[in-house]
Amino acid sequence: MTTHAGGQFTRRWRKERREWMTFLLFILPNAILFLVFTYWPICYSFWLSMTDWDLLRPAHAYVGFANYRELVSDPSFWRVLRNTLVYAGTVVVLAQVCAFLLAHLLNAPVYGQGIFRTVAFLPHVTMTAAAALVWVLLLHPQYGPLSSVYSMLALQGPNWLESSGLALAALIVVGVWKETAFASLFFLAGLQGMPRESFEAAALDGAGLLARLRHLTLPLMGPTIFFLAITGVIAATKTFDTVAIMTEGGPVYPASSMYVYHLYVLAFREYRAGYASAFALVFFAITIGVVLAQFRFALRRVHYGE
Amino acid sequence: MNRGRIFWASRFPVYCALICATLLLGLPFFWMVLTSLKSAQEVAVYPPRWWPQTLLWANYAEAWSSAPFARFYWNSIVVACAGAALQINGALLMAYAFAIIRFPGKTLLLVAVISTMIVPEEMKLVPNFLLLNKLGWIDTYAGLIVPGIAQAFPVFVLHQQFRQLPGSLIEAAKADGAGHGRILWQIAIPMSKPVLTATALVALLGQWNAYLWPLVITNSSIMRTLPLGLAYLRKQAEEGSAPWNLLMAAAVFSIVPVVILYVFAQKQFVEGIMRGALKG
Amino acid sequence: MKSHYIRVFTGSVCLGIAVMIGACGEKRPRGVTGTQLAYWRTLSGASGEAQDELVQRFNTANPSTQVTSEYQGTYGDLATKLVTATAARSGPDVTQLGTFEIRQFARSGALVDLRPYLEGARGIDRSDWPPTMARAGEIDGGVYWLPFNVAVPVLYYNTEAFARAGRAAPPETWTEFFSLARTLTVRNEDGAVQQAGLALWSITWPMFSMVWSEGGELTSRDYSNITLNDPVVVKLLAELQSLIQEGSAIMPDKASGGHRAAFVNRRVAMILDSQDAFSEVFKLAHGFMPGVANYPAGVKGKIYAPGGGGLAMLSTCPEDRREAAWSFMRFMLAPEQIGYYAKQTGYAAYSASAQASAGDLLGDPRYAVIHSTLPFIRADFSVNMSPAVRTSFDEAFQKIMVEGADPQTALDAADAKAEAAIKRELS
Repeated sequence: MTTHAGGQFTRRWRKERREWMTFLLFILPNAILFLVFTYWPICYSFWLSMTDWDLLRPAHAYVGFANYRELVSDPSFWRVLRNTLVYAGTVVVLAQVCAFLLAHLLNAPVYGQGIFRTVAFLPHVTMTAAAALVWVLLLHPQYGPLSSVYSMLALQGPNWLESSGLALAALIVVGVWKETAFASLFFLAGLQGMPRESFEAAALDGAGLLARLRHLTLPLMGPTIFFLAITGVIAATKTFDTVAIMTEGGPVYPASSMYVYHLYVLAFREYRAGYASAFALVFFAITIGVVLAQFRFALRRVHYGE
Repeated sequence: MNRGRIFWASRFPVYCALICATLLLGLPFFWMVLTSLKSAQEVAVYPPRWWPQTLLWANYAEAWSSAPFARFYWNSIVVACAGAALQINGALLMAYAFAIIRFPGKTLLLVAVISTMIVPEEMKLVPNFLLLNKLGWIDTYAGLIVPGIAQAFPVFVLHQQFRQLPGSLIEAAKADGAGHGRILWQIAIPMSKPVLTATALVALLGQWNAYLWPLVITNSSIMRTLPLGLAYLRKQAEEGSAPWNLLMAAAVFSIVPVVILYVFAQKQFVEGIMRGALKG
Repeated sequence: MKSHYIRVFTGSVCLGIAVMIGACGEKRPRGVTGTQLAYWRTLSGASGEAQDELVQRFNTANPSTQVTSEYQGTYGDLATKLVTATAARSGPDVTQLGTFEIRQFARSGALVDLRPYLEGARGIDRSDWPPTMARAGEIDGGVYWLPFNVAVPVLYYNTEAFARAGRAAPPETWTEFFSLARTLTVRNEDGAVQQAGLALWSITWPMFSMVWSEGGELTSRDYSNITLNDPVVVKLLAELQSLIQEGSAIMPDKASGGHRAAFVNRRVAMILDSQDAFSEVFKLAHGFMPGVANYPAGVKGKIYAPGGGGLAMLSTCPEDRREAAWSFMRFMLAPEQIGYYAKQTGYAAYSASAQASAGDLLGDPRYAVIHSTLPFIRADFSVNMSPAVRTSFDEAFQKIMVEGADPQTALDAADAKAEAAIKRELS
């Protein structure tokens, strides 16, 4: 059997040699870079996760799977995992809803739409570090502009960043703000690519707004929603800058800490690079699981137009 | 005529909603610009003053001179442009290969490439630093640029785009004796300009905004990029509070180039996304 | 047909080469001859410029050794960079270093033991340093860190608020301090607080002075006896917590400029800070005159925890450069330089000789107050130096002040957590 398969392979090789070589030549530059700068670090991290190393000592101590065993019973692991999942879930869902509505507005034929679009997409373009700094000011109960709103409503403004219950919510607000801008871009592109005729036909048929949404817009937007859900979840789970600048995981650590930030703290503040690597690899496995689950869900629900 | 009436009647609420939405999304920028023009006292005044008493444009000069920002600007431009160009270049070849060229088991390879999107930057920090140190690339443009060239996102988007190229066109070109290099150059690229623009912009943004890797890989201020310049103005909690007005001024002039670029490329951007990412 | 492959590939190759050439072209120009040293520092603004100026002076005075001073971001950024650089066995020769990193870096062999140099022919005379200062960087018998930019505790108070409450002098004891925080609190007719007595810093640094002077301890230097739930600590934190609950104290976040902004904007009458806030407080004080004083005394008298940073030599510095590196450190730590730095930045001129070389600095009574703390300095960074102890205590502090947790319970839990985590750190 092997000889048969091998023979077949050789035959194909003779026929397709040129094509295959071209393929390899084309992927070569990027493939090398992927191997060196992404896959090697993953392998290295795997090895590091078996050690107890602070990055400072010249020698590493091999500890086997001890780091992984410790991780399972580490309350901070479960806490940052929960925070990350709550954050990612909320941001992706809220941003998609907001962006969906916003895209409809931005697609309306009104004068000055260029300006509106530009402002609406600005959050996506801004450096996260700069954006996070402004949000620190904005959310402040007294010094931020929201305080005028609070006093108008005769409310005591919540101190978002200094309350362990609200700090994560504040991060979510910023995440939604940024992701909405990004997602509305895609929804707008999606809306512009929609066949106008089917909508007009549906309107003539007397289909209501909701019916059109359900039977036309949503199915046509399926691929967009799916794409944004995947990239959104991936981006959200990697959140680092906003945590580092706005809350540093506090006020009572790890109230608003997230996975990648915790990983950074472990490696560079607590000098536990080995343990941090175990964290990273578990994160990797979890994210792959989440994305695969999304794919399975999507395969049943999303209809790609061929 | 019916449509005209609906159009006019619907305009008013649309405007209202648009203005509300853009105000909400734009508030941080508005506040950023206003804060950058306030005096140090005014920033911390309670209750907050929306409009500065006098517009202190001098804050910009002061922020600019608080760190070698001219140099940072130049470095950011070099790194972002070269990085984006190389990134797109590599992604073009790879995406074309995955979409058009026959190869056994290429789907598996594609999955291996796309799944690298999940790897967080922080995880690659130490191994890549160790490697670049061996290569002697610490504190060089190469060190800043090369590790970021291979990205999954542009490969993914361009792959989606190339898959939609009409097969008949490619077959015709092949019948004419064109090789894959020529098809890529003369058919695939010209037909994918909006998508290319969009991915190039995304690549540029990523490079422009990066903080952690440039911090770790550069040692001297002549090699630093703009986001690190912001850190010059951000003292840490332990040492006291930040000069918010200067910090915001620096933030404003750090994002201006990408905003301008974005305003000009906006149409292409939207069209590019429409064609690239969304079609199955 | 072939030419298109060539075009595509030469395109990428050319770009690649351009990058490499650009990279090479950017190599820093090498000095003419002699030893090249790299010095990494933190602190921006005046505190950074003054360091660059000192480095410049060293280079002028020692043509055979040329030092390049490079800013590496905040203390945290600097630490991250040092960790990665050490992992790769690269990095600077001499670095500024905060107090958090000393112990771990020293124990992992990342720092050079300075004792042979200190005690050698070209040593440093430390006889007029505050006694504990000389021992601050001592780990397992070696000396790995020497204080450079020293921050000392300073109590800032609003003189007008004091006058209104019928007081002229700042509080002498912590007991007086707590009751004053209550007296100074101004409420309007419906009971809302207009000006609180005290704003707490979100970091725990002032607590060290408070606890020690009241006779409490947080940990022994070798961590064999961690006492985060020491009755004195519990009592003091409970006292602060009740001030917050009564409205006599607030704990502002750092977004608003923290406790400092609250003070300069007259939202509070007192803050516990360091001399680092000095210029900011006097520049921004909004319609009142701030006063400066020492922290109050406790049952044990005055004991003050310093802060700031120091200098260390990294073990990645090759043997043949260490003498030159030491010369540079010695220069930076000499009284003239510490005096100059104090004048330029407001950090403490911590030795008598440095104060002498700072000239008229102490003619300003406010600086005289700052420097009067020096005899009472206890330079013991053991809480900072252990991530286990530091994070457990910070967490408990936040829980008590922000979430209103019961001090005893929170501190018992913190103590247990630190005890459990310290074992791994000590191994």
